[in-house]
Amino acid sequence: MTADIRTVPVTLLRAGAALLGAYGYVLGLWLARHGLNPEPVATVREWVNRPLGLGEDFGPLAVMLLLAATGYAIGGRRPVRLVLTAVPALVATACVCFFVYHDMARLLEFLPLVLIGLVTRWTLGGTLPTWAGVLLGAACFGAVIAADDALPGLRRWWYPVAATFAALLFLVAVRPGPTATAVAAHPVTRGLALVAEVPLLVGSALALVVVP
Amino acid sequence: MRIHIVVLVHVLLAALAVGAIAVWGTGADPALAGQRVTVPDRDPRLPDNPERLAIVRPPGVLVTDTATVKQGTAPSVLPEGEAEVLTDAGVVEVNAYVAREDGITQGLWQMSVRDGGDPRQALRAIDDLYAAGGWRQAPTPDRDVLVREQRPAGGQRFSGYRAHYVRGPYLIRIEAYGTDQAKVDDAFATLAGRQLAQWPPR
Repeated sequence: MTADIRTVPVTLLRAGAALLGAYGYVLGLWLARHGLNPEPVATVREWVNRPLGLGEDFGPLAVMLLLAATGYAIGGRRPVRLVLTAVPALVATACVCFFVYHDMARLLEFLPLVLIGLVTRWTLGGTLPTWAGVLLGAACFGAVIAADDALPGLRRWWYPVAATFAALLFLVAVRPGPTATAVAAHPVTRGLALVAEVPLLVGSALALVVVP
Repeated sequence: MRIHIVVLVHVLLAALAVGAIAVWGTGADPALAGQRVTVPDRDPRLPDNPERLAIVRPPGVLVTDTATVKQGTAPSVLPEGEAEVLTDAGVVEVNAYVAREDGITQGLWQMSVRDGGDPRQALRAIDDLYAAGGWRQAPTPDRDVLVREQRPAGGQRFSGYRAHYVRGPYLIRIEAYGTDQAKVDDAFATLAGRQLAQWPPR
């Protein structure tokens, strides 16, 4: 059974978001709320997170990957199913912003990634000319930076860096080669892609229950 | 078959790297062990440790900017008397912003004391040096901040303030000097207010 080439990027990105979301918003959040920094996590924080400039144990990166995949997925849908596809990811993101960050304005930093996914889908599909796609994508990225500047207290978390990584990983994933397609066809990857919103919801529940 | 060889080569290279790290550590030069400064890391989840640079940028045109130089500069950038006193007290690295605006020079100096040294001893030593040099004690906004001032006298035309305090492993100096007393007072008060609000003594 050949996988539909257009679902491969979505599967890969959602699986990545599931893994990183579990690491960042479940494990990382639990450790942070207890003030712990045990060994394998401490080394990853010092040797991977810090050099790359990705904070919160890749949590925001996971959200951004999920939203980019969602944007890409809804680009191929008719309006009714569009809502069904987008709602879980948006609800999960809203839960994270509300329960973990207590700051709904942070949605403004995450939502442009949906538009980037959408614009990319339309550009690759020919609906949008390339120059328009590039301009719109850059504008969405500018929106992330503008939101980061406007919202107080976010500067030190470097969300635009996470957005850069998310956008680059997304753009690489939308042109999958045979290996990527094979990985996406694997049952583990597909299972992870199915449950991509779950770590975000679990993290939100954790944030409610475990108070620092 | 080809994929197995590729994977095998990657695993062997990774094992080589891990083995080297296990044997030789992560490359810190043991001769520099006496120069290490451990900066407190309040939140390991942040993408960068903001405590690495605990000074704000003074207003005006920057005439000295060693704040973002990775290893900082040696204490010898300071005048000889100060450099000697500070080095004896354990200062190994100096990062500074010095700016000039409107005839007033304002500076912020972050002097890192090595692990094993005592930043408060460096604080006392530098304050004693200034006291011995004729700088008078000036009113201080905070018990942990020692402020000294100098007025024009003899052939010396400058008014100046030097404030020192300790934050973590750093001895931080706030300075302002110039020939116009009122402007120096203002500039120093503003700069000290900003610096102490953002990076209070600890």
